[in-house]
Amino acid sequence: MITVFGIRHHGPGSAKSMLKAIQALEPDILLVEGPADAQAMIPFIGNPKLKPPVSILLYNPKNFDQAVYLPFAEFSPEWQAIKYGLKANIPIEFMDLPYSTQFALDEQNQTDLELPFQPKPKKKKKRGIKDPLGFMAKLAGYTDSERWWEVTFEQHENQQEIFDAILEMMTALRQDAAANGKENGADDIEELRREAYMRKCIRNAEKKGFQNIAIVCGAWHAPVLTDMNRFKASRDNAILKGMKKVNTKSTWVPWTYDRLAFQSGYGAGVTSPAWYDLLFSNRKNATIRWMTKAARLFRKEDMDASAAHIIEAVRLANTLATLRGLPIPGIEEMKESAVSIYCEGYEEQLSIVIDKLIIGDVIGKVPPEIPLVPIQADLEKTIKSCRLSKYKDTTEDVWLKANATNKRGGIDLREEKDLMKSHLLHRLNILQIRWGRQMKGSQFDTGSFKEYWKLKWRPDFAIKIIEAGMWGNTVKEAATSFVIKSTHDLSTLPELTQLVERVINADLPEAMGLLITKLQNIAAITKDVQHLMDAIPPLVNAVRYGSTRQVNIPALQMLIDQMIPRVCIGLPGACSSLNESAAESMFEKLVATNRAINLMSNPEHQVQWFNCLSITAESSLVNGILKGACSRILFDQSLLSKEEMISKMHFSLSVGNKRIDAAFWLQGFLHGSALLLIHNPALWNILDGWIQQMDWLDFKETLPLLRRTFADFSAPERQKMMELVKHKNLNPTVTKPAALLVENTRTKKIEPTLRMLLGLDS
Amino acid sequence: MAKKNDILRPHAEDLYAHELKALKKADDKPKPTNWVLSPWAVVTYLLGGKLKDGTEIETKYFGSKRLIEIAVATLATDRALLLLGIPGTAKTWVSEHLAAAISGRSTLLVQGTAGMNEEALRYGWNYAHLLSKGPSPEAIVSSPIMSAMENGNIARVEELTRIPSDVQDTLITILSEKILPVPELNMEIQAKRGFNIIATANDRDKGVNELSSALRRRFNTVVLPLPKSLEEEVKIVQTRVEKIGQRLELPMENAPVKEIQRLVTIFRELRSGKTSDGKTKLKSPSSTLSTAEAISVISSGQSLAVHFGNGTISADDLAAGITGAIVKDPLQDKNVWLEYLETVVKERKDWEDLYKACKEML
Repeated sequence: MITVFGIRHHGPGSAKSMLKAIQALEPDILLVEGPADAQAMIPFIGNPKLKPPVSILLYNPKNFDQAVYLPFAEFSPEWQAIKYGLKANIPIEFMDLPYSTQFALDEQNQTDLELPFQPKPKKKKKRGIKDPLGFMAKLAGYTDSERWWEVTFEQHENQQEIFDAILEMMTALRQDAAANGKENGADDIEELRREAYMRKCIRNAEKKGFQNIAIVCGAWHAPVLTDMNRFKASRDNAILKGMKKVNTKSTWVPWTYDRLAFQSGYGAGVTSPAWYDLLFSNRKNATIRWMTKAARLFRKEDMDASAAHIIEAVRLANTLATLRGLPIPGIEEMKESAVSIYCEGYEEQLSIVIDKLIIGDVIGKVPPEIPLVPIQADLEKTIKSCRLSKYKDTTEDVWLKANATNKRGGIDLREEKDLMKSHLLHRLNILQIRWGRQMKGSQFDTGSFKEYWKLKWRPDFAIKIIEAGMWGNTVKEAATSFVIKSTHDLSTLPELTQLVERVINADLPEAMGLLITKLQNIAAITKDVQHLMDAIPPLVNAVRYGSTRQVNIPALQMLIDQMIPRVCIGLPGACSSLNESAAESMFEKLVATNRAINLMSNPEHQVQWFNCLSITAESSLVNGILKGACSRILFDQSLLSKEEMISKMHFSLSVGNKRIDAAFWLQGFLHGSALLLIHNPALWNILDGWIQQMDWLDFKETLPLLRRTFADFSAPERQKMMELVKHKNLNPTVTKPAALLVENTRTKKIEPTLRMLLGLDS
Repeated sequence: MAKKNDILRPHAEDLYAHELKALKKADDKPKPTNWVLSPWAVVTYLLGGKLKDGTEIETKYFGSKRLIEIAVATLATDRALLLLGIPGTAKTWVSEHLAAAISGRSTLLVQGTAGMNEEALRYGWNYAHLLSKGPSPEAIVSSPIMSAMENGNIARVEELTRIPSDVQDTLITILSEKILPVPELNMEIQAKRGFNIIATANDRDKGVNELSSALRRRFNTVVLPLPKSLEEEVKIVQTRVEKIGQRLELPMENAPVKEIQRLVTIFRELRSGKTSDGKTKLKSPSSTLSTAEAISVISSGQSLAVHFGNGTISADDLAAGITGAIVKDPLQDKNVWLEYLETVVKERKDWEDLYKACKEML
């Protein structure tokens, strides 16, 4: 005897009805719609530590593009059926066409399609069913098929006749489709194959001598599995003949309600998992629980929601349901009464909490006993040992180590555990598993030992982790091999320097050697000075902070030593004949490189660098902003005397120059700080004179540029300049310090320390 | 007593008496105590439909079925109903018909005003009686609310937010305890089943008396929106204009669909601040430009046409009404309207007559 239960995937009502029916039936074997190659996953469902929502991940170990997720929730009929079967100790089999053949087919199609240099076509990985129930719903006058199902079936409890009714309906539908010339009323060849395979499994079970076969499958398939005599075994075998197979592997991965809501392995989407969960687990009090949860969420948002509100909301929802002839309120009734009671009629307010109420933020759990790929096991272990587990158990976007007083959290790289965290997150990022995004700290936080992260775990990382497994068996190993591979593929300096930074952050010393060699090779043939300039600051940073990260510093140092002279040689040429925007980007590089070279404080480099700057500053081909910047750097380094500076400024701002060039020069010269002007009356005078002799038109033309320059200055600086302008007091009287009573003997005592601090001894 | 046909505006329960009768006959669903119709029948009465015996129920409210269902469900519990919305979104209309369908009478009405005192909500005294015979239940002059409580009917409070706050609070006891204390006589009126209150308030007016949260909590709120689409709004105006035309005995051909469409288009465009094709941004005037106003513009246009014109409504008949509805603030709104005329109306094909007529008005 064959009994078919045509269910709705993830339908709590059909799960309940099916369970009741199946318990009454007491079958001796259970066949469930699910790919046959995931058979090995079934026994784990009996493990109480495997907590839904979870998903079977089925993949082709040779091609990670081919992977499917088959999610289950507590209220999924398949899940409940298998749980029953395990308890009753009867054989349970997945009877759907294995994905091994599907993947093989995809591969075949792909090689047919693929042309060199063309991006891989994104392929359909999921088995879709067209929504036959949507069609029925439309006939019944519902726009939303779920709602129709709910009203028609799910809200009637404990009626095993439901399945007969569904079967009849689906039979009529499939007959319609068959009348349109489709074999068996199946939508396409894929469906034909799947159903042939299902029947094959049923025949097998019969052959094995099972008497009472229970079949749990999507309602759409029910008609073609019920009346087995209508189908010839030979025809089914012919359909399935000659199908190629690839090897597949499967495992359990945790899943979340929000992913269940947006995508699921089968076509029947679930738009309201949290509500379904309630319907399944506590149907009697579902409305009350939902409304109470709503009230609590509203309270969190500082809205009025008292217990009295809940009572009224429940009553209104119930009355609405009665008015509409429903046994219990559905999601629509709940939403409407919540809007009316909690939100005073305004739907916008409900939208604040609706996702949490309807979708929910539940995340499933997979116990460690379930076979993992080695890298997965390593990741779990690392996550545990660096205390990141709690961030993996939530789907929310959270700051790492945040607390009530410190909302952005932040980790301290001087602490061992925190350093481990940082390494792990950086390594995962290298492997394209973007669990953490590194964020900027607050603007006051300039220390280099702090990192700020925002973490958001996504269940579909599972396949990426397994995919990363092909690079190595631990996260570190995989990241290292991945970097080595990318190093081979990369060919420009900026890409490589970026990689250096990431490798240093991720602490992958094994990858560093090759990377540095490659950098040296590329740097040697790079003609673009700008690329070299881009590379210097991160490399210098790496050398400076590398010690905390155990990096091969001498090799890096050597690389920098080779790069700086090359920059110095090329700079004057590279700065020539640039247009405005190119000059501005060059200006930024120049300032950054200057900072880096000064940080290194290697006198040899500095001499070379300043020489090249003074050449650049004099060149007539160079844009004003760069010349100004060079002059400023030289002046700051006391390589230009005050007199020289005055004459230079005078020269640059004199009438012979175009106003606009002069303004650019000024922008470059004054970059960063105005103190120079405030404390040098001579320079101030020149500027003052320059502006005064401008006529109105010229002034109007240069004003935007001047504004841009002066807007960067800090408020006190601008204030000070204002005063200078107002009082024409170009020699601010310095109040002479009153003669200090210096006690010589005591002063002498602190002198050595002071000398040491000021570095006067060396 | 005036004859029925003499009445300028009959009550809903009189105007639609035949529909209510037919619904009552067809109604086999359970009724809450003291309700004339079941909730299902009330919803049908408002939204229209055809009964099994062939009686056509007119659509009273064109709009979301959900909203009416929530409103009726609210009244079926013992919570009061608050209808919110900008002026002209059929709040009063809906409340009148709800009361007519549920209690069979829509006349227990308190109009909220700024100068109202508690007596209007509770009870007053017949002073002659009071002086001659002393305080007694006979000397009490009951308010509509008190009568509703005594008879288990629906009472209506119009413009709830215009009532001063301290007077509003009188409603709290009535709504939560369902009693009306009469301390002078040391007695109280207990409401019968079926008693409830429908209040309306508009959320556009400034300077209204915001409800206290204690009072607000006793109401379920339903916000009535402006009509969603042009077609829906045209249909509302058309239906209503036909009704009003009949009542005012205007010998009209059918409602002037073309003019209604033009008018509703103008109103919708100005309200939303952009043209219906979404290509041009427009300024919005300070006036609300609700559907109700569209209805009154059309029917006054009709009456102009009948009494002073050739009987067919033309652009000239509409111009005065349109200008009056839009230009509420003589300075700003006039500019908005002029801008609209010059940029939108002038450019539209077949709208020249309207353009000319409106320009003349300004």
